[in-house]
Amino acid sequence: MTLMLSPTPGISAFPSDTDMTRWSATVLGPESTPYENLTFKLSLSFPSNYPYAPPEVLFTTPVYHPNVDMAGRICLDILKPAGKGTEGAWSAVLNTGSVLLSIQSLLGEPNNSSPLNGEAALLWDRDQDEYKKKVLARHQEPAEMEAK
Amino acid sequence: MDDAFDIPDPTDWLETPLKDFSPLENSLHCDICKEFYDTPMITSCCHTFCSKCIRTCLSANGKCPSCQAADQASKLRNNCIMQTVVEQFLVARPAALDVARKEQQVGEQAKKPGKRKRTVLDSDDVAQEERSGRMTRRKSKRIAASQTSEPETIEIEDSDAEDGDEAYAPEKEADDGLMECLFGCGKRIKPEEMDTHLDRCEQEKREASKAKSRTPVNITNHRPPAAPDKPAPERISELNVSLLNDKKLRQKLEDAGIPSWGARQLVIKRHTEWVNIWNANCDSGGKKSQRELLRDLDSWERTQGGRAPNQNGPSSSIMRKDFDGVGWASNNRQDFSRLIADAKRKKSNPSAEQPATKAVDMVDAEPQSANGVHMDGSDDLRPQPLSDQKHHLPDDNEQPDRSYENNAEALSSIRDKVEATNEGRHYEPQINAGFEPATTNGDHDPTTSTEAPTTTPVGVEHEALLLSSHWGSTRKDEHLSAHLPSSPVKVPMFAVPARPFSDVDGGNVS
Repeated sequence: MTLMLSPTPGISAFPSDTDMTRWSATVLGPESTPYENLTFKLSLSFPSNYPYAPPEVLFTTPVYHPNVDMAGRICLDILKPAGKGTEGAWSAVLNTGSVLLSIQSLLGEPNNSSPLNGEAALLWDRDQDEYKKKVLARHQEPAEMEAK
Repeated sequence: MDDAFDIPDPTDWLETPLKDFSPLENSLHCDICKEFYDTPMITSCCHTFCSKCIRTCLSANGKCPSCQAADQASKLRNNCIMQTVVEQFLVARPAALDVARKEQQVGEQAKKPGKRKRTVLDSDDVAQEERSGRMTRRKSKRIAASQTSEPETIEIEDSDAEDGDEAYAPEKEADDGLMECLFGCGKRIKPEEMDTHLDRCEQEKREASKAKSRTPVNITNHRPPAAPDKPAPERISELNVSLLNDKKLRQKLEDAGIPSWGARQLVIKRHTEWVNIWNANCDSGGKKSQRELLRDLDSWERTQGGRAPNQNGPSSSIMRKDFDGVGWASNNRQDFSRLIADAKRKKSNPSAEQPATKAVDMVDAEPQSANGVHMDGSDDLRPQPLSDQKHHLPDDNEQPDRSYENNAEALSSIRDKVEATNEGRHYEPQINAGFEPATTNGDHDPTTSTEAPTTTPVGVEHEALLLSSHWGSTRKDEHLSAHLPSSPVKVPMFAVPARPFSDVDGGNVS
């Protein structure tokens, strides 16, 4: 509700028409990163025991990023269920807004120590210009995706 | 119906002068379930959550969700004052919101004269004064109130001639430095005395409501233990499942009076849930009976436990999930559309119309929108799409006869059906939007249709005839006229919407 009525700039989310547990979201790439001015669409799926378990979040826009794989899956600690002894950091106090904000900041600050996309991780450290080219080559604006 | 949708939300305050109440209300919400605190418990790391919420979290991973510090359910303690604050806030909320919304309306009226610059400046000054003044817990309220009330007083001094508006009456008196009671008791108090007055005012109100209804309002003396006649239920501890074999575990569940079927994992989960439900109830002082607790457990079973859709293997889970969503949507589509239609109607016609003309209006408006057919040229006759749902609706109305004229019961039933059909009209245009009727109906006599616009029969006759003309299918046309030999007006099948219904309405009035 807060997300809809007083939104954070660059982040929006709304439930699908038929299924309240499935949401679509958009995130704007953070400024002064290779993702600047790019819009990314995501899908969120909430399990029945939400908020005790994390939502499943996928990029529906293709993203070139060290912590995002070809299918749009995201490697982010807060999206993994927290359990005894596991590395997951999901917490029941997190909400959709905070999840999307984390994803937005992940775009600008990739966690290169556990990459899903090794090439992107290497390139991020070595050649930012080349990295940006790859990002733009992979990226599709939502309008382009619908045109397909 | 309206009450059911009026769910308290912090955003309610945003549009009002008391927008600082939005974060206040937010801070009375549990971070886990995002509802008002229900039996708030404080952890050893000093975070507060609903009893049920934090117990579920701790049983899942033993950490505080806010700071990830390890904690145990047995260390939770009641946060009594938070419980009281939430309860008090919920009591005060409706009245405060009412006042705030009234203020908002007054504020909107005040904007019209276009002296905005001046007032903005003044309200800033006032707010600053307030800020430099002593801090009280009513501070935000006072600032918000003063932002709307004080500037007006200054304006009034400027232009005495213009302030004839009755709505400003309380603010006019604000010149004397007094404020009206925020709970609306009508008294005027010095701002410094507002706090004490509000406390007393609230107390009086509560006592009044207590006297009215004998139901005990258990707000002031919140104590964890339950009523004296019932011993407080004892908390139960979690099982050390690793020490129990399957049989003993199931025996434990049966002893506790909860189902023991399912795989071992499920049985353990169910017991954990039961412990959480039970102990949360203990925290609240045993408000619920065991039967209610069992019902809570059952709803857990259906959503997340053994009967949950996605517990029966991955493939069936996907099917059932999909089926549920789509099936539910289509089954309840009528209801949803009705609600949408109601909402739209309410929005466009905020004032209630007279029922009789309303019904006629609806019939008139109906065919136009439902068929998406423009009938400006009266000769241009179009067949109704046969697939149209409405044909299947009221079979008993297809052959109306004159008996409707003086039959109040029949008329009211017709009205109901008109309503029912009408409720469908807001989504049907979409269905038929692409429908381009290609064939003009040659069966009809064009001259009859020209007759329609000129005929504006009064009241119920019109209604009944329109109904028959609308619901009768093409084939029934002759049939109908045979049934209505003495009909004063002959209304043909498709001529009804020849003019916008407002014209017909005007005809009715004259």
